[in-house]
Amino acid sequence: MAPTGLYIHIPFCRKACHYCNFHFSTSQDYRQRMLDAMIRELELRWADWPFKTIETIYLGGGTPSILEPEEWMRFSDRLLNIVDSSQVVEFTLEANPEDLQKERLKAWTQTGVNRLSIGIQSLSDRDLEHMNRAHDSHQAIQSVQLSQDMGIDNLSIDLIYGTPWKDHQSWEAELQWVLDNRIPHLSAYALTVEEKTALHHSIRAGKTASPDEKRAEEQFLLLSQWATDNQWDHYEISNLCQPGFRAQHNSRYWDGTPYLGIGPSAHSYDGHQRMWNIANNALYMSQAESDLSWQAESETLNPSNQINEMIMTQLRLSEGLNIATLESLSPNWLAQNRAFLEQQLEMGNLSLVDTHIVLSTQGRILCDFITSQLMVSEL
Amino acid sequence: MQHIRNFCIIAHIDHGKSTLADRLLEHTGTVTQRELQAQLLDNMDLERERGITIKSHAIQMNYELDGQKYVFNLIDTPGHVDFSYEVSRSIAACEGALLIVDASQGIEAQTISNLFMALEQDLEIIPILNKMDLPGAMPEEVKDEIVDLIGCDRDSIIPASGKTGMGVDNILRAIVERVPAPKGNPEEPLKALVFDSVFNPFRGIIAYFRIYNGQISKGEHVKFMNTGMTYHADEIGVLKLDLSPRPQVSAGDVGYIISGIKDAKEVKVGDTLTSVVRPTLDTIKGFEDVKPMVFAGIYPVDTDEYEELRDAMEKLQLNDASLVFEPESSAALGFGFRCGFLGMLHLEIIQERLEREFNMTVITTVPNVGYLAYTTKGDKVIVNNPSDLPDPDKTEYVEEPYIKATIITKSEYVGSVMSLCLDKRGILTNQVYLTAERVELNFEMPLAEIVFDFYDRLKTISRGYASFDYHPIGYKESKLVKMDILLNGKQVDALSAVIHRDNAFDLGKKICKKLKDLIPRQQFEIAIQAGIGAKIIARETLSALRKDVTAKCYGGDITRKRKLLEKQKAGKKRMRQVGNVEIPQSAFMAVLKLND
Repeated sequence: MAPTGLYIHIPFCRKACHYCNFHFSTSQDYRQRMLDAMIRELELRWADWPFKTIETIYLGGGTPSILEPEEWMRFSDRLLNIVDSSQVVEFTLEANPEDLQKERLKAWTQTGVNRLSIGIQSLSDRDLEHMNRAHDSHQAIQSVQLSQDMGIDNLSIDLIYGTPWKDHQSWEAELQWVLDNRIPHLSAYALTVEEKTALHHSIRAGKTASPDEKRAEEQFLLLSQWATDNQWDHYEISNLCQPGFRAQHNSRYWDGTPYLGIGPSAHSYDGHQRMWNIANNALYMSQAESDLSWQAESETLNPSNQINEMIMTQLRLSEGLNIATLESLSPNWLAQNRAFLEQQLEMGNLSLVDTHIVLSTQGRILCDFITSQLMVSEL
Repeated sequence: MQHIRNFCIIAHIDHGKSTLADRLLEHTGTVTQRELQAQLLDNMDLERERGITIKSHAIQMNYELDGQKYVFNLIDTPGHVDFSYEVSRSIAACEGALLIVDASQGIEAQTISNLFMALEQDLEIIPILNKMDLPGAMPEEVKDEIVDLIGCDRDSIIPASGKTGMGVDNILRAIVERVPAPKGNPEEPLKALVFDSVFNPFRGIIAYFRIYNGQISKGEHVKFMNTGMTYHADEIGVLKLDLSPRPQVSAGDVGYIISGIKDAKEVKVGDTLTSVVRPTLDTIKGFEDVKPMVFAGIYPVDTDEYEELRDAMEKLQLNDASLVFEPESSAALGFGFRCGFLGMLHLEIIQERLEREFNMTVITTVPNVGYLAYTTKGDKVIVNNPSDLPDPDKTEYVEEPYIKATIITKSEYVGSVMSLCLDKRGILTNQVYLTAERVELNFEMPLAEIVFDFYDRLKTISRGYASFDYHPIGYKESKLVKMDILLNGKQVDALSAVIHRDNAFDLGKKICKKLKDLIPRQQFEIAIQAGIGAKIIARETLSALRKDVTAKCYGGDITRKRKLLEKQKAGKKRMRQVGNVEIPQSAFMAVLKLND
């Protein structure tokens, strides 16, 4: 049996970040009830989950770091009682800078957390204020140092570029800060206006400027160049690391290996089917408490869906899309796409490395366009 | 024959014609409550949904009054201007007409034109004030309008409600007492008017007729006088809820004939049906070969489906002889058909039926009217496709079809209706106040102008309080030019349009702007230009696609994102390529929606 990943979604946040469309609630009234419901879900689903060897655990959200140390201890105890964590190599917890305090860090390391993903987002206070983050740049810098002082060196941080308040110079300064602080992993996201977010609303109301595509494009090029200059591994469009520090849990999403997702809105994948949970806290809890299904929907992937997922995820990776595998699944694929591929090759958007199609930096900026061109119709 | 009554119904859309007709069928016991499905006569899904009548229908009812048994033939007619010829033939098959007017709305333009057709044929008009149950009913004002219009006795107007059943008995009595019995001689040679036909996949064409003289018997050898075709009457009968076979149908009555005809083109509405052995000497007047007014290209979205589209069009034509089409090809769209329609509604109906009944997805090009171009060599060229317009230097002049438009609206909207029509190159020819509140306006205007977003704008500016009707009045010379659209220097033939020279700059600019919104950005810059001959009159630039990448792609994003990209892929498959530019379907109809 293949090893699996376990994802736990903690759907609480202190404040709503203006750009965020993940599932969360800022109400903290029913935290214990929610954690109980999630444990219930895990108990029932773990029994049926075919993959019993857990290699990675990822606490995401929301804001998992919001849990008080005792709250976390109790929750993680129950969690690790249900599943066997002896084979876990990566145990990541998403944390916000304002939560990084000694007691919490101690509680996390005690329970096996060996990697933190810190939501720094920016080192500019103006930027942070506009995003409605709960921390300032001072707290951000402190949080990294404290984590390292407490013995967690395996850090990842999130940064957002392409915002209207970030010029190229401050972007480069932030990247330099990552190097200076020996942070081994960086997730760098172009600011994206998602629907049903405060940012989207504000732009539509004309209160905030739309993100400038040209600026985001240039800052992506800067990022890419920075990675090359410093021998960083730019292994996924928005993920970079020092060699050997790739995010193992998140890599499951791109290499098609299974993961079990627990909690409201969490997604699971067993190699054939994708399932996702109800994205409503109250409904999720009441369903789980009555032993009713917490699942919102599921989708069994047909062959063309599988191929398209492969194209979509692999093109995001530095290894690229394996034509040999693709051809074995869809024999005419190359013939059908040859003209387009040659054209993109000529334009410098991709290159061929062995049997893999690898997007160039320029090609990565057009990744969605190229992906949809290469997708197959129903087989 | 003294006990037969043939009548039709004249009403505006939504004035309750179908509901009232259902009541008549119910009261005469023609249908039971159980069989009664709303809008019984409109049996096409499309008719029910839109609340309109597209095909003529006929149904026979039995009615007893004062100990006498009567046979009623109700001929239901389409209400829309596109089908006015069919309406005229149905009217010619009747002796009376129920004029149904919504008591809360008053008379509308469409009603008037059909009413005049009925008056010309000397039909006895029974005015009915419908929807009396509505709180907004204004019976006195609307009665004034009716009296003004047909000069009837105020007391002869029957108040009714299809909803409550009010007035239904009075209507039935009035049909007996006021509609004259048909005249005619059953002993004379057969002379019957064909007023419609329908296609039945098992039985072929079923033609509906009204007999003026003589009689028709099962097995008789009959002839359609205008087409000259002869057939054997395999089955004849009268039209109850279903077909009801009879050995004979006689003068004065309405019936149907099935004679193994497979193609609707062989049965022409308005034709005279007679006997081969003992033919009548005179054909029925008023026969016309209906001519299409509006033309558009219809192309399969998937170029592989050309043959399927041809099959579907042929099947539709079996049912609808007014649809004409011939193959054409376009550099942008591939192989398709240039189709002629009676009007814009007819076009929409065909398009919808192709999609619903034949599961075809089609691209319809911007519709145009038929032009007449006179060349310097003295030839006359019929132009049903803008691409066929001869070069300006070889053209002496061009003529376009004109119509007389009738618009009835509330007096407060006269100003805006007037400026719309003038904007559409209309010339006001008449203005009459029907009441203090309602005005009838007449314009002469080019037919082409109502093809381009006229109805929608009329509806908007009058908040729905304007009704519109037109009829063609011939061709007039106009300053017309062909405007071409170029994408990166390549002409897109399917986007060419014939327009008035004075509107060229404005229209050219609007079309280029609209196309800029509709064409997705591609990996290179695209110049969108409008030109007349070699002269460019408008230009927009669509910049190249710079950035198209999703920042986050984790567990929760995969399905959503895959579906989104698959959808884009499917959309791209449906695009057409001109030069190196991909054009979405929506762009081909862009000209119609310039004001959105």
